[in-house]
Amino acid sequence: MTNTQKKLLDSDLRVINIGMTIFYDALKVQNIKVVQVDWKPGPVLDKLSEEILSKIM
Amino acid sequence: MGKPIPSVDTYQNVLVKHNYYRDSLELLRLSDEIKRYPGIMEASLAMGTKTNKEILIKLGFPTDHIAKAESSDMIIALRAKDEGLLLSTIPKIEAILRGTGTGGEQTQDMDHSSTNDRHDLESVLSSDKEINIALISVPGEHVKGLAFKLIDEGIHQQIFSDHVTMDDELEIKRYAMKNRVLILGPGAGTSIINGTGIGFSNAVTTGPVAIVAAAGTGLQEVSTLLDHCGIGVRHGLGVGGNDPKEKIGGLMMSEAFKMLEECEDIDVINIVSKPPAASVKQNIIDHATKHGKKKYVMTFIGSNASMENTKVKKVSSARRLTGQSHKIIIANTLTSSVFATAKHIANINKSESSINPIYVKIEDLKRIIMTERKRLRNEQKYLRALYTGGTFAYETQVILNGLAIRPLYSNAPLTKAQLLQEATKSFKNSVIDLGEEEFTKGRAHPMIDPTIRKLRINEEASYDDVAVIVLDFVLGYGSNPDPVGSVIDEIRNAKLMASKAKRHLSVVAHVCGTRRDPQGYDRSLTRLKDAGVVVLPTNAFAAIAAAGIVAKRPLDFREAYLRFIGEIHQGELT
Repeated sequence: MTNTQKKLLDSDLRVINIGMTIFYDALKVQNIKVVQVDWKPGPVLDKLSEEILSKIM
Repeated sequence: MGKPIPSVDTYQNVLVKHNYYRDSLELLRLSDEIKRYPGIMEASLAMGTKTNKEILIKLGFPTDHIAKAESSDMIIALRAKDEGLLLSTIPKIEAILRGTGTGGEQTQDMDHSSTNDRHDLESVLSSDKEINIALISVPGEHVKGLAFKLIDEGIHQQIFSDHVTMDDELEIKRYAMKNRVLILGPGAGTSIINGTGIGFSNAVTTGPVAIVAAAGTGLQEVSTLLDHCGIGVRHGLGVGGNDPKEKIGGLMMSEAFKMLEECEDIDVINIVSKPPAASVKQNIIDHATKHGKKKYVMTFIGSNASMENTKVKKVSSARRLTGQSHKIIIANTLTSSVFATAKHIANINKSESSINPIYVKIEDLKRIIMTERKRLRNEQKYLRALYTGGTFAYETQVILNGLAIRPLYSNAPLTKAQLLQEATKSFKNSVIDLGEEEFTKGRAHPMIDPTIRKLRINEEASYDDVAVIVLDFVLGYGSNPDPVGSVIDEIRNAKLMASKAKRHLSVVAHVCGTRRDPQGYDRSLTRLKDAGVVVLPTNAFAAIAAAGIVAKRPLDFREAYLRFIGEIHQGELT
């Protein structure tokens, strides 16, 4: 965990795009440094399983 | 897949692939690519959500296979001129899908994005410590885990994803505040940071204005209209529509104010939102009056009346924008917000405000309305607004209600009494937000995918009692590469269909964009006008025009302008 706030409004953007590549393209067109994450859906836990897991982990 | 079904001069088939996920945008692009194959008349690849199934049935595909598909299944629906072509196209689609692969299959860039350079999240986070913002557009149920992981890395986030629960949003935002991270969204489609557009955004000039928005297309409208007035926007932070609600308590609005107050090059902060919860509204006003060093324009769309219960010092109403010099102005439409901001900037610069490019004189609007009204038949009484931008749908309802256009219904209504029974079926005067959940689950947003609106234009035009169709066209990064071109044939056909039935169908539109947007602002306007569309410079003017066309009694323009435009040029007051 970090307690340091990364600079945003007064610094150059460096973006990680997770999801639709149309947004990656839009940033590239504006000459922004961006990396695309190859995201695929993982399993989604139901509420009960999530609670059980959070107790045992 | 069953045997191809011959129809009149065509063959069609439907294939359902069980438990086969692809992103809606990738499927849209693949559908568009297949449609360009010679002899292919219709191609639609979509996840098996309720909306997608209804659309495929409307497109004329057989219901039996489609009805059985689940939301986790992919449907491939094809129509071709001959059977051989149909059969030979299916293996090509399968090959492309295999190429995009999951589960250890080879990766190939199917969606024609410029990126062949995809990475896994862990390796990016461990190797690149300079990343300062993440843009997230994955299905909503996966957002929370992702957001927490990124907060731990101190990375600010813009979350475009919908369908994130309010409980999850609150947890994410509280955790983010502890770690001094800014969360824009969920449901935040638009931001501008240091002049760079993130998500759905426009190529606007950089300048002395910052916008904090809980309404995505609201941010686009205000920033583009300011651009037309020669006023730049440096930052536009979209905090998501839920942020100003009681449960979230405006957490990220407050964070955004703190950050923007520190920016020396910002003179005016413009807040754009549907009316916030009372406590949030009071907090915003307290912040501005007690701690704010900047000028503030507070655009709470349609909320002027409720300001009476809020403790405001030195606040001018939108009715008295001229000549004021206080720290806060309240505006109730996006257009009046822009005019108020232009006034602030003019006062600071000691110059004339430059709103002429987006102002419509009363006499001109009257003439447009009368020309359209004269051509209608008696039975043509109703308007149908088909919006891709949710804020526009909201603003138009505020204006139509204010101008007594009744009865009025919507799938995203201002009051429960105005809720449309079925979002897919208009009734009397109807304003449809095509970006609402019932239309977007498992599909790309209508600002990208025009299919639903194309079908709906055709349907609305077939009704004898419809007088006017209202449309928005949102240009900019992230949007459809040609929003006007993608529906212009449907508009022409709709007008032609009405004409054959001896009716005149009025179509009123506005284009949200700038002259530097990639789709071409002027070209978009020209094509609409050439197709006989009435084009107005802002959504508020378009809504007043549509109201004037269907109003039972002539509008009081002076009153309408005072209430919803906030500006009347000298010489027009009589």
